[in-house]
Amino acid sequence: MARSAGAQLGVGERRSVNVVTGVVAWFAALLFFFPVFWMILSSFKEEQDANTSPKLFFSPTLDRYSDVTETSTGLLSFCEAFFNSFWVVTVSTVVVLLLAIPAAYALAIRPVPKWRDVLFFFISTKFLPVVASILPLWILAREFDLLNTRLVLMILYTGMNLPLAVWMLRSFFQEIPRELIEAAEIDGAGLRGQLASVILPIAVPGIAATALLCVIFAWNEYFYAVQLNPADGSTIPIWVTTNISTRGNFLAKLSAASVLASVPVVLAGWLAQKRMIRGLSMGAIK
Amino acid sequence: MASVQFASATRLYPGTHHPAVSQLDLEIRDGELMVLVGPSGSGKSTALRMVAGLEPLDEGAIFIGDRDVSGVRPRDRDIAMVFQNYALYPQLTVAENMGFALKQHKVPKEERVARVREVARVLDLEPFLDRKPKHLSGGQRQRVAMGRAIVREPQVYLMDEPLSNLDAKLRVQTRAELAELQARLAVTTVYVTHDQVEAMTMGHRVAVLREGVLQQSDTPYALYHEPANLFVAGFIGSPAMNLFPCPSGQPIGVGGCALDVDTGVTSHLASFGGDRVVVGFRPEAVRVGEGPVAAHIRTVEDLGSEAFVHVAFDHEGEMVFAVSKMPAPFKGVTGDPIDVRFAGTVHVFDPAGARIASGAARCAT
Repeated sequence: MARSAGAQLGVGERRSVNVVTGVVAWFAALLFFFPVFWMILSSFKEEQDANTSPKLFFSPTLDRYSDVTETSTGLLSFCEAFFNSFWVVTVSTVVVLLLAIPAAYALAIRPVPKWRDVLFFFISTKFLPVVASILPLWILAREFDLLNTRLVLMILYTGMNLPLAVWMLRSFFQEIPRELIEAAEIDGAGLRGQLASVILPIAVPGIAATALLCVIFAWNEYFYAVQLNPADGSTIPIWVTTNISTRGNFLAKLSAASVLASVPVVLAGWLAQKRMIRGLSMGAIK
Repeated sequence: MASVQFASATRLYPGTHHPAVSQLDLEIRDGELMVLVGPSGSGKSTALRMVAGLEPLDEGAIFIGDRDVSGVRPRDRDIAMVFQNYALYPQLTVAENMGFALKQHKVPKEERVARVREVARVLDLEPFLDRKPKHLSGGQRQRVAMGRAIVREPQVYLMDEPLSNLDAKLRVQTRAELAELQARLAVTTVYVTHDQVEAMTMGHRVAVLREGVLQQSDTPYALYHEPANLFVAGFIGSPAMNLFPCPSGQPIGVGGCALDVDTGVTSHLASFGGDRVVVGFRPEAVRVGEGPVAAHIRTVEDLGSEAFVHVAFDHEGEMVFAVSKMPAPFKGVTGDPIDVRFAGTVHVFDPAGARIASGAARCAT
């Protein structure tokens, strides 16, 4: 009888051990997924149901979604926060790619002198605890009149994601066979032609993976947003917290807000998953 | 079309002390197929890349035709290169790969398509024009790489071990096709290989390099029959030349057999000042079966058409090895005692390497 590839035992493996390992893995996976599942479930509940003893069966409602998305004067609305996030994330990611692609090219394909030091410098900017940098950043933002603007987050998210993007793109570019670039050079392509015709089309999965990570990090960022943009230009993570109230129950409402905040990145990740996995594994195998 | 000339061309890689290519002086004539051959690290690929403009020169110059291209960018040298791994653009179709250079040079689309089609027809690539490289076999990819070079109609073709990724049978077949194509197009070609059979069968002339230094450049016949030095003698020819260190006093003796040599060799030896020489015989000049040298068989390599008989015998109190090329079938197995004689061309070298003389020789006793 033919066995499926997944069910085949490796040489010297025992089925019982495999079954136990599988059960443990599934248990761990479900354990990690459970809070997310409970959040989604709670978002369809009445506040009362969400706050009383855990209920798996209940009559689902979309009222909490209507509650969190309705606009009230003077309060940060979902649409406003969504578009703030959208602009901040889009602009910062585009700028990151525009800066990181040539930087990664220089480090991977035509290494500048002391390229190791340059690379270390890029990553060293991530060593500083975020909280340690907030005071100088806040002062600078105030001096340049950037507090409570989308621009300050665009600049910060660009700076925050740039080292990561340079490192990632560099490893993707290094995978491109040198001969391809040399062939393009001999074939008459200038630097721009080499980038546009040869390097970028091959590195598309890597660039997509890098862009997606930048989007996720920028979309989810909370600390800078809450410190520098508490009033105007607030982003989705801040909007989520506005659903926490000091009076009454808010668990179902907060769950609905959290689900709405998660949907764009989960959707983007799911859509890009094929390319992203290829991109993330690009540097893995020579 | 144009000639290519290396004029004292030198390349020293940063951080190294020994030049990868040192003071190379070599002229490749218009329409000639020059093969650069040598072991790994000999500088043959570096020399080719210097012509391509992919490696800068530290000293000297390179001319294509009358133009000094030493400081000219690769794309302005009017050359085409075929890489060892073909370097086909994976995201482009065969037609787009072949037309890439023309597109970069702003050749009108109609002309581009026509030229790609014509070359594809010559190389039997027409059915594959819309395919991506990953959907081609190794041989087809190699032809696309060739096609990409041909379609440009450059002054010089540069080929960096273009057949080394093919299987043995396809390599022999493609070798002949490539030589025929080069002869038909009559475009100056610099061809790099580490395979001396490929070098000898394809090259109008062959340049042998060692550690960045040109050892000899000549026709395959001359390299085989008149090697300039011990390195060329040992590198060219398969199996390699049998070499025996001997005293330079006459008569020269190998394995106890005194050699009766040509007068030309005798006079050169007489004027040679050193005490010792190295005597070389090609495998076809080592005859087994009868002769004055008592040997035993180490192993027999039977190729069907001929047999390489590896023997061992005593020479100046030491056991030395030699290879004989004999017609097949050969009767004899490992361990059998066998007599050996020398009859053919002898090459005599200075132990420092340079050839002193070559001439007919045979065992006198």
